[in-house]
Amino acid sequence: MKAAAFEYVRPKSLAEAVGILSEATGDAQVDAQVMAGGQSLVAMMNLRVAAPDLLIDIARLDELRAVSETSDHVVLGACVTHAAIEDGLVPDPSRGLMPDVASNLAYRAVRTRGTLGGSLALSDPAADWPTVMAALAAQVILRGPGGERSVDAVDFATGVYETVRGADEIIESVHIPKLSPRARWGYAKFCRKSGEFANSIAAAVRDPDRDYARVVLGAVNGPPIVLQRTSSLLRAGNGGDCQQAIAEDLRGLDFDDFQASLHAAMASRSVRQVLT
Amino acid sequence: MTRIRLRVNGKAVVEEVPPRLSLADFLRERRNLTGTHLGCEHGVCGACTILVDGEPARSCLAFAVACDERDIRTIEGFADDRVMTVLRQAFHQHHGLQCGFCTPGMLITARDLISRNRAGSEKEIRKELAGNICRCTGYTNIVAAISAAAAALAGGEETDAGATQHKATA
Amino acid sequence: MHGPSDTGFGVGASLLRKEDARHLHGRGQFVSDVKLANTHDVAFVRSPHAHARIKGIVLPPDADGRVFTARDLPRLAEMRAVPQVNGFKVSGYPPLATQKVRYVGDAIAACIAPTRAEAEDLASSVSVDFEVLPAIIDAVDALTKTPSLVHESWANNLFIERVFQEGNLDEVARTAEVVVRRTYRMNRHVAVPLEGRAVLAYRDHRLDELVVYTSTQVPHIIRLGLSEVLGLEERNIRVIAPDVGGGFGSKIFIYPEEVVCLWASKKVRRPVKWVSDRTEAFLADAHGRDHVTDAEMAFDADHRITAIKAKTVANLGAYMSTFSSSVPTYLYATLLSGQYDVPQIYCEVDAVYTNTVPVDAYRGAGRPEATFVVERLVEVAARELGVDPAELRRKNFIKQFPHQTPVIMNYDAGDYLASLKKALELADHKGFAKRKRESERHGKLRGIGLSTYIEACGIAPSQAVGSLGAGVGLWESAEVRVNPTGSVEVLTGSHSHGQGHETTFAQLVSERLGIPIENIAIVHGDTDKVQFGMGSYGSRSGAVGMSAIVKALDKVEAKAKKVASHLLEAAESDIVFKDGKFTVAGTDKSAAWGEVSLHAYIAHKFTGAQLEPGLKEGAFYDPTNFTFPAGCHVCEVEIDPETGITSIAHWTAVDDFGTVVNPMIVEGQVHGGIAQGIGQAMLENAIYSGDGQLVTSSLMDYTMPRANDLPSFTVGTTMTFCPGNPLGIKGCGEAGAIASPAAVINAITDAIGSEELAMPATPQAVWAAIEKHKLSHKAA
Repeated sequence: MKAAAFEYVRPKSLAEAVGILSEATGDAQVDAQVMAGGQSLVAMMNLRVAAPDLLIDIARLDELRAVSETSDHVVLGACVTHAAIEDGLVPDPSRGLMPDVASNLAYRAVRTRGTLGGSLALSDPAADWPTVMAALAAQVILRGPGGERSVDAVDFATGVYETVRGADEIIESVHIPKLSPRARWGYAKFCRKSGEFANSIAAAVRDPDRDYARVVLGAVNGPPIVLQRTSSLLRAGNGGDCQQAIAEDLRGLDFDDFQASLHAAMASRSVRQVLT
Repeated sequence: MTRIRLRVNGKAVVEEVPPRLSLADFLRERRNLTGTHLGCEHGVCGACTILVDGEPARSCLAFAVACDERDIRTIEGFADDRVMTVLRQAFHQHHGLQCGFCTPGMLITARDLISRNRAGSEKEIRKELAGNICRCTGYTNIVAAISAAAAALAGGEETDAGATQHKATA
Repeated sequence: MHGPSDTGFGVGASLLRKEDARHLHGRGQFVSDVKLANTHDVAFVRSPHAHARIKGIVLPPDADGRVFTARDLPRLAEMRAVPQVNGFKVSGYPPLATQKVRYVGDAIAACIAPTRAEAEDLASSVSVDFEVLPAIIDAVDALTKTPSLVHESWANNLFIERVFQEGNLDEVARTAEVVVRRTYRMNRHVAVPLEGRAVLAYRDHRLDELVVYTSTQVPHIIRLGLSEVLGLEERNIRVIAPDVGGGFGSKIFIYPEEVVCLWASKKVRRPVKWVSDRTEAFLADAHGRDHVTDAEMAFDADHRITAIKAKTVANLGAYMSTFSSSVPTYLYATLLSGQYDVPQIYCEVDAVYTNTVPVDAYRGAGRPEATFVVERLVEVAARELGVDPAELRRKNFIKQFPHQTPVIMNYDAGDYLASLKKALELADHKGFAKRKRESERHGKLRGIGLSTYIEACGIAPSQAVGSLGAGVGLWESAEVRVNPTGSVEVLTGSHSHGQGHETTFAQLVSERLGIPIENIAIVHGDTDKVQFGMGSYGSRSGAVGMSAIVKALDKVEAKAKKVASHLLEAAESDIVFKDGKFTVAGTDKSAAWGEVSLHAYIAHKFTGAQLEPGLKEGAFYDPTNFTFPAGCHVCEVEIDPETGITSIAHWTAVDDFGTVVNPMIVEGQVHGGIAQGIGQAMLENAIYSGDGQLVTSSLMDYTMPRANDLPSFTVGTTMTFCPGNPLGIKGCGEAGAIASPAAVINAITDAIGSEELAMPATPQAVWAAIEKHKLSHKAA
């Protein structure tokens, strides 16, 4: 199918982009969409499932591709591509986790255009970055007409394709705490179809020097879930017996037998990777 | 309509386009470069893969209007490219194509993965090719062709350009 | 009889393809690549309901002359497939829906605009008022429950009830030692050639022709169909199939879009183009498979099969598509003997209408369904009898030929023991136990499965299929035109859409005439050039298409010898033709091919009364029998029981295709077929919701095999010459797809130790089977 007609604008600054977006969302007649890599959005537009009146192209804004690094944080602009992370072209706060995740995400031709911010903004429950950013305790920086605000990644998604981002806000960057040299991570993903969104994702991180550990489950048909008991166990360095904790963390959640088994398997594999 | 300026296969191009015209349709309809094929228009099959600023991208998922000032390279734009020449010979010698519809996208993807040194093993090649669907070949010969091309390029060998007989896979 | 060629260009040579050059450089010419000035694009309004009455259609105000419905088409325009089997009830298939829509995707209106995008805008502003009716989706339901009829003029939804029978099966069942009974479902499949269908139609005023470029496997059949539906003379229609990006059967049929575009181009007086998008392809290309079979196999005390019984319900969708009547009947039931010597077979087929996309032939067309039933039953029986699956097969193989089966087919030649033996060797079957232990050490399951398949192809002897009820003849044509300079054009009724005919057909001619392959052109795909042909499908281009070329070459050689005899002043019977040279036997007098061809045209050495000038001969070849490729595939899988993820560790195929013209191309066909069969068995499934929505209507939902889903395939051959045609070719295009699903499921059930597994064997299905098996073992 061919996309329905729309107007296209390429603002020259983030402030201008925010201005255009807030004007459009204020004027209820204009359905405006922000486009970065477009890998999900344009596919939806070509199916006429999405038909915005106005497309605001932010892919080339230098402000959104900027990266910076301090002693304990890396800041990645929202339009940093998956390929840039995969190729190590930007600083890596995660000691190899993020490049590993990036290299297994979709396909190269998608990774060269798709962005970190775009993935978080869309919040497809089966996407990788929401789960990984939650596991790293990252923060999402939003820019709106009223200024900047920061939201913990773990709280960013509220449902399937739903986030706390206001209609007039644009993701500006992601602040990711650096893992210490002794930190370890684990990542396990189950995809029914190669390169497509996953059916189960588990990311586990343990950073003893910061007394931090978190195990996050994604592709759960909602926002990523922090497995609290499993995380506590891992923090204490006792992940070896995590099956029980995982089972408890999954109890009461709405999964069929197969999904429950998958999630348990991915969670325990990710924990095992941390410990071995 | 919006005016865009970009480079296509090394040539500067200026055109007026409606925003919704995809890069694929721009290339096929406006520039008569029909070597780039459309198999799905939802970014899944890989037949439309071209290079944007040297990196592979799906031309069905890009609007021409968003490609202002970009450097686009299609299958028609690799005449003097050594990697592509070796790859083409290898695809020919290993029977890596049947109907030919997926071939341009497949070649561009193959060239990119070789350039990024991802042709080290069959498993790696297959993973990198997962974004390009072929319905005819079952992939066995495509993988063999890429493997052979990568080896030829690494070894600095000249391939047997005059060969008419098939090289059987080991 | 042909062995490997020593020229490197003839029959048996793995000659590289002439076609490659244009495709490797992006210079292929598919229908959507053809550009004509003033072309407008078409988008169709399609039914969103599986079953509904059309109460009214409201066109937008600016629609005048741009939107067409059934009312605008000629009143009689209706596609009526010629039944291929006696007893089929034909349904008319209106190219644009008249009073009812019968499946989601059924075309209602054609919208024409300067670009496809604008045509879609126009289509979205057409408003249709529906009265939604209950829909029948499942084939078994269509038989048993009839809340509403798909075609109201009939008493029920039954297309045909057809029985193939030999023997008294009740008696057999009573006295059998073991009877294995199972129900098997062959999941609905979508062909998904990567190039969707496309049509470009325009009027050539100079030639007084309506020209239709269409992505089809059968240009002449399309021309015939269009002439019938639109009431035009065949000679006023030209059909051109340029480069076609895969077909696999889905492009053999006459489709509404071709009819509408041809008619519309006349109406709007400009070229009209329609290019299918992918979702449209899912909703409007014929689907494949969709059988449910209750089957039984009976054994005596010596483990010999004494009878096979099958009752099949085949879902044919909402309308009768061009060849759909042949697929679940004479292309399926007649293969239920498999490679086995079975004295009695009974098969009953009920083909039904449902409110789904019409179903028709798709790679294998009926034979994968038959192979799946037979090869699963044999495997299951082996376990119940406590016998090695290979041994049970060996015991039951047909060993003497020709062999008349109880279901019409007479197998001409074969050696099933040889292909089984070679396959097991190549697959290192002996080493499996060790590999299994190694897998188990890593917590994985491992299984191995066989499929010894046979199929009937080289479609088909016209009289034989006529007696079954076919409405067409299935011969093939060839015209060999020799030019004065000695170069040759071969006009063939076969059509290549990936199989490499421009190369393989030329190999045949090069070897026979002793001329360089560069001097040979193969012409196909244009009804203005090739007088008539039946096209390519049913693995027939080698066996039937090439045989027609051989017949024409025989005539060319005979005529050339006559010319040579005048040129060399010798008796015709003394002329010997070998390696491109004509010699007078016992002398050193000779003339080269080029000399003789020149003299055929300058005609100085003979009078018109003695011999006609020119060197051009045509032939029509009608097969004397089906051909019977057969072989053995071995699939080895490794399964992660925690996730159900199944990877294919090895795949081995050994096929007997008779004479192989180009081993490289034949291997490529086998690879492609295996990939599709694995897709059927593990990944692909066309799923309908209860109310008839096709849930899997994009490549995001329908799981296509990718490079990392498959291993590299090991392919070998054995050879028994096919006595049915001059070259001894059996054909190879579909074999991979026919053999493979059974091999996959046999391997997975072997790994799990249980048979409770339906196709596609997705990770979820495999995991569930493993869990169920664990529970039943705990209970035991």
